[in-house]
Amino acid sequence: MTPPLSCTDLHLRFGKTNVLNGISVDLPKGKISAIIGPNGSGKTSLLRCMGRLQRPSSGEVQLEGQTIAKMNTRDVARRVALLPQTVTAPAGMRVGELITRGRTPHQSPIRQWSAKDEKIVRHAMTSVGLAERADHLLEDLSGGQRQRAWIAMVLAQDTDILLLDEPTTYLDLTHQRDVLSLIQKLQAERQLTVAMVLHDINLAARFSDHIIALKDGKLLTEGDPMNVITQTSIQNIYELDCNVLTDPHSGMPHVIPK
Amino acid sequence: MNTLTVRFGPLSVRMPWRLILTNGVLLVLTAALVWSGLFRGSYPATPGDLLSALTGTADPVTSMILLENRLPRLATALGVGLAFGLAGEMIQTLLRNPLASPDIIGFSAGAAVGAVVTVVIVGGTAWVVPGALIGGFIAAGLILSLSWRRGVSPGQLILIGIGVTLTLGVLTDLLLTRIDTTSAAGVMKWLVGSLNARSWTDAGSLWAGLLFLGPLALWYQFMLGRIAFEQDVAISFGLRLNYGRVLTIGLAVALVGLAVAASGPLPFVAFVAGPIAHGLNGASRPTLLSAALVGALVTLSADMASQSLPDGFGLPAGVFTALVGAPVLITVLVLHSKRQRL
Repeated sequence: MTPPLSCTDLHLRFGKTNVLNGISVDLPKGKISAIIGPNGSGKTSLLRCMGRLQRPSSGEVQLEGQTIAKMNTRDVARRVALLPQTVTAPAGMRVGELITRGRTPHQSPIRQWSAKDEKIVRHAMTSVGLAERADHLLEDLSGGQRQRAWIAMVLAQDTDILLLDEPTTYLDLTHQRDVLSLIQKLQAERQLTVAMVLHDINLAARFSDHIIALKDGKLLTEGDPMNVITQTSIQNIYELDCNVLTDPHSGMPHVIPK
Repeated sequence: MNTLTVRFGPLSVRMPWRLILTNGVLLVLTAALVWSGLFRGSYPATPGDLLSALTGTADPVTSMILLENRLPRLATALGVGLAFGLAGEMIQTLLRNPLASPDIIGFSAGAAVGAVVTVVIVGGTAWVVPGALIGGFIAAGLILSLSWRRGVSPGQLILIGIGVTLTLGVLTDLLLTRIDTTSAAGVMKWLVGSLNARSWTDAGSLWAGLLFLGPLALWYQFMLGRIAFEQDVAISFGLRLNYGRVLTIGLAVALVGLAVAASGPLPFVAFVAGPIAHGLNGASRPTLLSAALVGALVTLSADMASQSLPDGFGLPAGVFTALVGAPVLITVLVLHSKRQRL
């Protein structure tokens, strides 16, 4: 079976710096993959290459076997949605309007607001629990609500693949958990293939089905969180001396630095 | 939501009611100003006079005042206002900054220099339109290339644009010293922005361009708001950013060039149109039609104000648009710095 999205021997250089050094990785269909690794290991660059925001220096990204760089960018947008790490909407934008923007790849000047657009936007809004706040200004929302609004926007894009760059940045502990459970719930409901960059290894262990661990622009290891998050591999990835316990609630591995 | 949705087969559009209402009111006001400009004033006339003038049965004086004096002047003022309003809203939307309007970042100044150069070379106004268009495009190209740092950074562009505007002002003054005083005085008045004694030639080339560029701008409006979004998000939506930017800037510069050729760089019209329009319609950018109509209203009222002064004052319309524009500029600056501090 062709994977929904696969990278083959990706290299990325900025001047003399090698950001990605030959990464080949497939996203497993209908699962949540977490991309982890220390700062500067190339997590965001890999995600950006997957979402064709960054053209790799060599190697290629394929969408169900088709080379993404050769595809019509609008067709890609109907199949892959990406939410960057820090995003700001124009001043004065309302929640409903932001979520509606997610329909852009399906719209045109003569097809601005079809019944299908309306249905999908309403569904996305309800899914993230913002149905009552459609008319609120985005800047008036709390950090957690705002992040949910952005997630609803990429949901409204109605794609099978969702790429998220650090969806929990700037959120407190409760909201980090809420946003990730929301992503987990949505993934299960819609059978999405999700890849997200996460800094927090314990959140990655708990909320993903597959871990992709990078170091120095290379794929260090990948697989089930149970197998990847071990004392030895954490030592390898982060050069961090630690204990790995079992989270009594979820049964997943939990890293405690020594 | 308080919006009107119209669906017909595969076609669908949506518009907030408040925007529709605002556009309706602006349209009525614009029509009222045109009406009063045509039929009132020092030589009152009636629609009947206009009809007989058009059919050639009116007396020569009425006919000349209506057809050769008032109509071309009003057509020019209306067209100039619409063009500046459209161009201002487009650039302000694209760069996500109300200060980034064509008259502040040097597009108008470039068009003015281009026009003056043709006056100096040929000694008349025959080549003003191509001169203004070429001048506008050269200035825009210069400003964009100077402020290009892996993409357009609005802050950088505004500063460089203001610098270019000042430089071009000096260049214009220098050019003015190359022509005789009588034509220099005429050019000077035009440079402030004047709608005095416009002919059908002025109105004709302006409207020919406007009827082509205006619908194109309105067609692209839907995507313009989307390419002006967060860059990474816009790319992942499958939008062609560079194409959109070039199209938007090209359209705006062409509109500004045509308007400047017809009336001189009426200061602040392009700048105030968008912010006033959004204050009224409450919608997010861009709303090209509202901005175009506000531009037309400002220009028509400025021209009326300049005509209502007693003889001998002879202040050109540009003085009055500046009178409206300066307070708006200050307000925008204050709001802007407040928002950044919050």
